[in-house]
Amino acid sequence: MVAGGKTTGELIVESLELAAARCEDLTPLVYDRLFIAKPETRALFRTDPKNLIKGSMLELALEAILDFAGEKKASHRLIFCEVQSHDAYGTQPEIFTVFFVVVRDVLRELLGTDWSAEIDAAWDATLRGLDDYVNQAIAAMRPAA
Amino acid sequence: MHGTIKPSDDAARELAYATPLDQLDVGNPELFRSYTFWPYFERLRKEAPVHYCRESMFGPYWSVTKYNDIMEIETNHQVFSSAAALGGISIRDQPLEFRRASFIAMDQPDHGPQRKTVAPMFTPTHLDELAINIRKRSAEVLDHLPLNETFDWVDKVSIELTTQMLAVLFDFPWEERRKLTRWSDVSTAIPGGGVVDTEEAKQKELMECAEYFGRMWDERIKQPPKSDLLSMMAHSPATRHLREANPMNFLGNLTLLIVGGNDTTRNTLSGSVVALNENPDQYKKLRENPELIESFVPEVIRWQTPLTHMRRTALEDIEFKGKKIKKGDKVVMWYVSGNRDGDVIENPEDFIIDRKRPRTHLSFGFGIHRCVGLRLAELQLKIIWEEILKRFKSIEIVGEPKRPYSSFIKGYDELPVRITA
Repeated sequence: MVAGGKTTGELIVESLELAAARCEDLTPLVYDRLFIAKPETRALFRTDPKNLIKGSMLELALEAILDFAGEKKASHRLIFCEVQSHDAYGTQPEIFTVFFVVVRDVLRELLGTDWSAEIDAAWDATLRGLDDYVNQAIAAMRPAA
Repeated sequence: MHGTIKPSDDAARELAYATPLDQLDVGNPELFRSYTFWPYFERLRKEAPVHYCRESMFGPYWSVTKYNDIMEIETNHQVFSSAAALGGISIRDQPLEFRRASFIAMDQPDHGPQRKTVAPMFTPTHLDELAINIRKRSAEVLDHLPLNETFDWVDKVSIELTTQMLAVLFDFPWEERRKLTRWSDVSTAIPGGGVVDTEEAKQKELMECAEYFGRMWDERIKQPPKSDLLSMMAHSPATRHLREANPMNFLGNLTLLIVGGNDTTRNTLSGSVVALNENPDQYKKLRENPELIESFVPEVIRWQTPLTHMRRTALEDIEFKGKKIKKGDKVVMWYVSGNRDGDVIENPEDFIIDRKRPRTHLSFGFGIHRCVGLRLAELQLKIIWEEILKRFKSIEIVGEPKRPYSSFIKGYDELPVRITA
């Protein structure tokens, strides 16, 4: 997709770069927001006082987002594997979709007036695509009877 | 440096770089026993990150040595199979008649439900309960260690604590817990390499393991479900039929859990002592700030990489990074090399206990087969080191470590140490 002369990938990268200039580490912001949206997830991270687990999970999520918005080489398989491996521990797959939305919302808040309509559209398209991947992983785990 | 050979070692490097590239065989267990493998992987990462070895004691195989390439294989289980019937997950093919499926040596759709059977053992709530037990047992073992005399850390601490943990997880007869250690060692051993002499002897011991657990299984299945691994499997719809219907899968899952819960944590616990002895500045840093245990644990798991690799088998012809991998080819993902890939990990040769991103490592694998017990492994190491730091100023290595003849297990058979009171 091209919006305002920039590709979706370029707009996603731009939003992340603008956010990085305003905030050294997105981890606390993302998880604070996640814990508000899904309070039950807080307990999953109670043994992570230094945010190391949270940070590495966010890193993977950003990797999936950037890949989807760019080359689309790895994000499908990455999400498929993560949804399936987390399912064994009872993590609801729908959390993945929520998590991606939370990342978008954190960036939007950080960027303030720099959050343009083009960036917003790029994120909408990316989130829809990632949501499709999550749903495909769920369907593969729970095929219709 | 206590007998270790680092990548800078001149003799090892000279040999690694003098060998014609097409003759490099990084899967040779002798390289691991002698701890001379590092420069071979360094060279492969630079010159042939996807490399084909035509002849080896394990037959021909591909080596994948870069972090991101390994991730790509790990997440592509549609093309790269873990199935035991095709050879399974290690570079050494089991003889055809002894190939046992387990949920790590199995593809979807069977893999997910079997793995899910044991996963409740490793949920945060259950880990909280296990933590109390781990701390109590760690304290008991550490409080009984000899002071001011040389002893084997592997036997007295690493094996003892991880075997105790396994016995708790299986609700295994306490006095016989060292059987678990033995079965773990036997199941990963190369016959003739020091643990067992022949394949027949190895299989005989593993059948004894199956019979022992079979008797326990028969008891558990008659009892109400409990929270031990055996009871979980005996009562789960995904696995309760295995003892009768698929005894090879039954034994496969058992050995997977025994090895997964034993060798890996055992060798990382020994490796943590080695790493701190080789890096006294980091040891000092840890002593001065025990809160660094949080990042020390994932760093030592990366540094040690207790399982050197996982293997896959190609289900179809595929071009991968410019190489033509054919259907049926054996593909070895060298975690031990990926964990030293400078393109992904900053200063990968250095042991840095306060790394910014210490969890960037491949030691637990990735994808649908990522270690199901990884949080428990981390928890054990964290608690044991918290207890060590409360008690001992220093654990000093006073002799040469002895390493196993294996290119799958990267660990220690013996590690002589002395604790100064």
